Formats: sequence, structure tokens, C-alpha cells
Amino acid sequence: MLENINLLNGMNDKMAFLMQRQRVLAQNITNSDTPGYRPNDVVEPDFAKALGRSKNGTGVQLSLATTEGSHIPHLQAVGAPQELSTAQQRRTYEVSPVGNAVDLEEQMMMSSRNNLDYQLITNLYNKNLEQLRTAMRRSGS
Amino acid sequence: MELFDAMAISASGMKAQGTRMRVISENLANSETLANTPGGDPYRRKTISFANELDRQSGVNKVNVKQIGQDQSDFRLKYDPTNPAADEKGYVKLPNVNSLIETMDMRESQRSYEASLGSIEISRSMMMRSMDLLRSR
Repeated sequence: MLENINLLNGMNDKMAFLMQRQRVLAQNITNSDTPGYRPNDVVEPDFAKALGRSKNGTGVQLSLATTEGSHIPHLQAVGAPQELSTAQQRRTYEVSPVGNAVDLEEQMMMSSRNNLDYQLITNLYNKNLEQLRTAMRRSGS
Repeated sequence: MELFDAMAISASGMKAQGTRMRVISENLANSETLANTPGGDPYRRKTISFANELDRQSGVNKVNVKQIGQDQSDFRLKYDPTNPAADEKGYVKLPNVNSLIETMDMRESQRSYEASLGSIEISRSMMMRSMDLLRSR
């Protein structure tokens, strides 16, 4: 059950990423008529690492000391919150004669997918909190 | 917060498109404005260009109107000797405004404005989702 809190941390990272991405996409859409502007995107961090698992299945994990047999072992992923970096979008559909490479449709699509991802994460977050609440509820009430 | 920044960026884009709309309507409204003196120059079409600008306070790239310039293309000539603005040969200079170009420009501006508006909607809905996390107790 306590792994859930770890999961909540991971979701936090994802939400921060999605918010940052929304900011960058808004910037792209706003600059869709600016001469010479090239669109940016946020580099997606490795979320598996945030959950204490790297892609090959090995990650650094610390566990809380258990001094009694009834203690529940808790694994805690080590690692600071992921740093987000913005990079120029390399692959673009077209570049207009004034050097603007923003494709409005593409950006809108990314933006709405971003929104859906965010909804997914907030729903999952809620479900997790619900699970925790179920576990914490007094029996018989 | 990132989402407030996102909204501020979109708002700056909408403001820039609003200024563009103003310039376009100025051009359309003056598409028949002739000179006051015989043989003088009529209304000259205005152009607008944008530039992205770093807002140092929030560290985001907003869009701003770079300059409102003038279109230096040639005026159209029309033979109309009775017109008060006609020169000694009887030709009147008409403004270099092409209403087709202006209309297309207007459409493009409208689309960009709508895109920024959509972006604000999405930022807003993400913000609402965050607040819903607090509400669902």
C-alpha cells in the first residue's frame, strides 16, 4: 500500500511535465505568425526512473529500516524530481516563406492530447487517494 | 504557476492578433480614400509584423507587435478628369489596398485568434482538473 505514495510522487512529476508542456504549446500557438519562429517542445523525462525503476528493470531504491517483524517494508525510490528541459522541435511539417515553422493544427492536436493526458493523471491520482482513504477508514463506519 | 504563464502567453497572442485586425480594418475602411490635393498621394496601405519577445519577469516568450509599416507598392491609376484629386493629365491615384488580400489576412488572423482562445480553454480545463483534486473528498 505504501508504494502508492511513491506512485503519487511519480504522478506529480507527470503533472508538472504536462503543465510545462502546455505552457510551451501555448507559446508555439501564440507565435504562429511570428517571422522566423521555430516551435519548441518539452523533452519527456524517463518516468519509469521516477518510480524507482529504470527501463531495464534495475533502479536505485532505498528501504526504510524494519526493526520489528510486524513492520511493513517500504521501498523508496532515490532521485531528485526530474529536471524538465525544452528543446526545439526538430521535425516540422512545413516552413512558411517568412521562416515560421509552426503548424497550427499539429500544435492544437498536441495541446488537446496533453489535456487528455492530464485528465487521465488526475483521475488516477483521485483513484489512488480513494484507495488510501479506504485503507485508512475505520472499520465498521 | 505554469498554467498562468500559458494563459498570459495566449493572451499576448490574442492582443497581437487584435492589433492586426485593427490595421486590416483601417486598410479596408480607407480603400477608397483619395488625396486632398490634385495629383497628391492617396492612403497608403499599412502592414504589421510580429516578433517574439522574452518577458523577463516571467521568463516566457510572448508575442508583440514589432512594427506597423507602410506598403511601398505602386498606386493604381484611374482616368477620371472630373475628380478633385486628379492630376493635370486627368489621372487619379487610388490606394494600394487590395480587398482580397485584406480579407484573406483577416481570416488568417481570426484562425490564429481562435487557436489562442482554444489554448486558453485547455489551460483552464487543466487548472479546473487540479482544483477538482481538492474537491473530491
